[in-house]
Amino acid sequence: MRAGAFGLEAASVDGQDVRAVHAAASKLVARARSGAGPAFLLCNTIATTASRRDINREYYRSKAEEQTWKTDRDPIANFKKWLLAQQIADAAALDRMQAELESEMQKAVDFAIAAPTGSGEVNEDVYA
Amino acid sequence: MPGLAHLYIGEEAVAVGVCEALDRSDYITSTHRGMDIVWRKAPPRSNVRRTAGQESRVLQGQGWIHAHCRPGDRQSGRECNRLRQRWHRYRRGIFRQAIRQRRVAVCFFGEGALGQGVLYEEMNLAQLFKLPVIYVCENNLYTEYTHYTERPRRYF
Repeated sequence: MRAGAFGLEAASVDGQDVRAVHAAASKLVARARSGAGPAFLLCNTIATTASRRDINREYYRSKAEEQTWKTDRDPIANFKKWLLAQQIADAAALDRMQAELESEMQKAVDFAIAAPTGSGEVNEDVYA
Repeated sequence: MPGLAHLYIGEEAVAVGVCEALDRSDYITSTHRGMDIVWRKAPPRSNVRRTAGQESRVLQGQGWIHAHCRPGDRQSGRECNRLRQRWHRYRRGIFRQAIRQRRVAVCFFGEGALGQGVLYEEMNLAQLFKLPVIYVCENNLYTEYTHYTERPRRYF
């Protein structure tokens, strides 16, 4: 990797595997903390939700590619499968966690909608 | 709120995996898809409120992702072009603080940034001064609308 040319410790990981990312990052962070210098970590991933909806879909990225990443390579779903396979968590506990998180997010959205619109400060540092 | 939405869906493992390796006092600079990263530092409530452009302690409610910024929590966001100058200054400040306080700074960016000279300049200096910086490249395959295979060879 190019970063290696500068003498940086360079690593590449599957960005869909949270355990792999964490292991690689922990190593590099510990190394940086010890004073050994900077590092470069390449995480191969995908943003499954495109930024824009009005683009030419097929030219940009096929629906099939997007679907494969969503169904087979979703980092959360895959980690869940791993937890279940290792018997670290049971399905009921994970479902409960999912419900708690959904309710927390719903509360956050409700809270945001009900919050007052920005005061005078909102226009500070805005030039356009 | 109308406009573009640069979501982080699909990339969650990167932010979680990296941020879990950090202490709360470490520093982070994020991309425009920094929702997951910023959520490690600030509660969903204030982030959604900020995203909706409502009054919020997170960047005074300036709204949406160009404002993922909460200096008090040592997390900065990437801004649009017109704010880039300020952004570079800000990042420099963050790295300086990290060194002074013996903290690690993690810099998240997309693979599109690999086409920018300033990144190599910075990595070169970081290595020269042995800075505690981790450059995390999130290769999400597309630089805007260009697939990474259409970029120069040995891109990474």
